[in-house]
Amino acid sequence: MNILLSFLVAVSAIVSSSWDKWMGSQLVFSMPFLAVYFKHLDMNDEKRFIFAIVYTLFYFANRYDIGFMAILFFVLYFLCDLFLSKFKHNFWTALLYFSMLSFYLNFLSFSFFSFFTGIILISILYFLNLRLITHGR
Amino acid sequence: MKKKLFFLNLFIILAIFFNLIKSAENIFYWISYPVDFLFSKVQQKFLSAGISADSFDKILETIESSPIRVVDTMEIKLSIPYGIIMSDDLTSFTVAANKKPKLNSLVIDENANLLGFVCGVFSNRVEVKKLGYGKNEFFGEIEGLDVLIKESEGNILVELPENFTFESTQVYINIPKYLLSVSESSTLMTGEFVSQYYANFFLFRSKKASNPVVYFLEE
Repeated sequence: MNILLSFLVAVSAIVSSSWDKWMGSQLVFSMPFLAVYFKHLDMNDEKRFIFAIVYTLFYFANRYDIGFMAILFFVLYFLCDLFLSKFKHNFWTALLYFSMLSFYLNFLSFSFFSFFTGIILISILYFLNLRLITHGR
Repeated sequence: MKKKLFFLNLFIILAIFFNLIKSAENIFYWISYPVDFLFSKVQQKFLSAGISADSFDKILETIESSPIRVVDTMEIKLSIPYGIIMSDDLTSFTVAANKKPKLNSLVIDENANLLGFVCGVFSNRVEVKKLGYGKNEFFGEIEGLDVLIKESEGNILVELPENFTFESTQVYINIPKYLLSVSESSTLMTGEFVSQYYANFFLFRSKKASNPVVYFLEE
């Protein structure tokens, strides 16, 4: 069960990287959404970092190349995770976690329009179902 | 905390591995091929809604007056595959083509300027690496001299012989026929030399595409 779940996480990372490659700069990046949801579902560290490794390798290999920018993205993910694990889940931490990852991806592809689309979407999604996941009914 | 640091180290080791063996990066292209196929179609549908009728007429006009044709040895006229640039990116652009071209074929504009090389084919959606961002090395010709042209990290490097003098900075580099076995006239690279990079390698800046119509030349 545990192996199956981590396999599904890796597959979702591949699908997410492909969406971001084609539609990310046109519409919205999907990776920060998945990262926020995995964080709020209280997945263990292994699965969330398998997701980050697979996503970073696939996205940067297919779109740019695996270089300093890819390492910087992974370090950003690592630092965000380390810093925000001390706080309780609430609206502002979700927004901060989302916008840090999203800003870096948008900065690389010069598409700030999709950054604002993502900010609006996450603030709607938080009050729709993310709040129910963390606090129950 | 220990687990997180382990994954950070693992990623850096993987990044070093894929930089040492550059051709191992191809595995990502083949694993994500089916998903890329789907989402490239989605992108085409999304972007085709934004093309206004005005620019579409202009594109059709330029396609009809296409000056580039390939003459076979049997003297049968065949038009070569062409396409329209859909979206432009930092390192690559995507093209909606009328036929499926081969991988690694050349991409030129209507004045036969070299724009890049094909790096991904998803049916009639083609992904093209811009000139400079690939890993190709090929020979060109400048004022009757054979020179080596190299791509590295977004730069185009040209190895010139020692004590080479040129009157103007604007330079045409012919890419001779042995790279393109079928075409009549050779492909050009227009641009100017910016500076000396290292040893005898000079940094070359080529002109960018002005028209959205591009053509594919298969080797």
